Amino acid sequence: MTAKRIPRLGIGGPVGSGKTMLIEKIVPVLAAKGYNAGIVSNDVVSREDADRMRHNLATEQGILSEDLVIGLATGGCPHTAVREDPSMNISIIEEMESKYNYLDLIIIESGGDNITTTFSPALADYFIYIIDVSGGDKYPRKRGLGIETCDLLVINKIDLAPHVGADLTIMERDAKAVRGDKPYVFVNSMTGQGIAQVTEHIIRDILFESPPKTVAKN
Amino acid sequence: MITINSTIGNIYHDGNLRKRYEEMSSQSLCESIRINRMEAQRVRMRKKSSKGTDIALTMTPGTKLRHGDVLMVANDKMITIELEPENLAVIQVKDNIHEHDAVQVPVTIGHAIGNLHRPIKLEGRKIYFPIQTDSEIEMFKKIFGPLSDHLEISHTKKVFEPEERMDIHEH
Repeated sequence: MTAKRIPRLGIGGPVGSGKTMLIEKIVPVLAAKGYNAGIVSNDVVSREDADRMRHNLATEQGILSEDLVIGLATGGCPHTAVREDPSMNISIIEEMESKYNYLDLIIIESGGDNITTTFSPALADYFIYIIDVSGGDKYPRKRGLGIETCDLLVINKIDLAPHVGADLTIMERDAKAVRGDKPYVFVNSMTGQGIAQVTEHIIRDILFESPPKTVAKN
Repeated sequence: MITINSTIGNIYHDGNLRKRYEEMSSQSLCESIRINRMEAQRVRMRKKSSKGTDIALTMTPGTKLRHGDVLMVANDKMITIELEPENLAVIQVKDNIHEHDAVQVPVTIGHAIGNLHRPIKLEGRKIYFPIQTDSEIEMFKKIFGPLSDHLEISHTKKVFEPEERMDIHEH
């Protein structure tokens, strides 16, 4: 019998934009509300991000078990493994759905620039694209698949804005112009600023404000 | 929040639903969920209808939503899917193709569009495919310059539902 499908959140963004830390911040907030998450982290050759999240969220904090953070070395541009051919990711996720049916959410992380990154609708139900201010305040108006098509745009490292000459009012104006009614959030993952808003979007738009599952962990 | 697990039919393919849609529409009882082509392939999403109804879609994996799909119908409400119109290039193949061009013209067009990883829609002698900006039309006029006697290239904005027998990725 096919396992029940678990809601899937894709998080994409350029290298160094803060995808891993965003996950490290939102998973504990979700866990505090009773939601269990599993993580699949796509990278080219290393599994460094997965190892880091496993150490932080599982070993150190004990929020999830170590086997719920899976590193996938895609061997090529990781964005292709979440866009053109997501079969590797889907295979892993279906295995997780079968083994860990108590999960409320599966998070899929993948690097990728703003021009090319998006998640196949067969893979992710919701897509967060994250950029940071050090790319310059021109970033949102330069558009691209990631910025335009994501369900939630996260603009990270806002504390660095004055140091890199980025004007947040310009980024906000352009994000509104490019994205219309679709939401964006300014975040400082280091301090946790904006994390609650991101989590609210996840609970409302992916989890449909359903209560956490009550299935027992095996 | 209303949860929808499946579609009932399509107003453009089911005469009875079409009739009911027209009747209810004239009484302002119809509302729609507007989604883009990418979202049409999603099986889980939460949307607000044109009248503000909060709707959660949890469809069977593999479901593709289509323009005009009916999500719900009751005495006082019908909710349908509305696909966002897209910017499209239109290549119209003229009827002046002779036998010696019969392979060259269509294969050249197909090769060029395929190389750019664009999905297509065929309608008679017209080929539609999505473009990001109108300025792309000039690029296609250059690409197809040697075939210009046989083609008319323009752009339009309309709902785009690509051919489904070709499973193409795009970017």
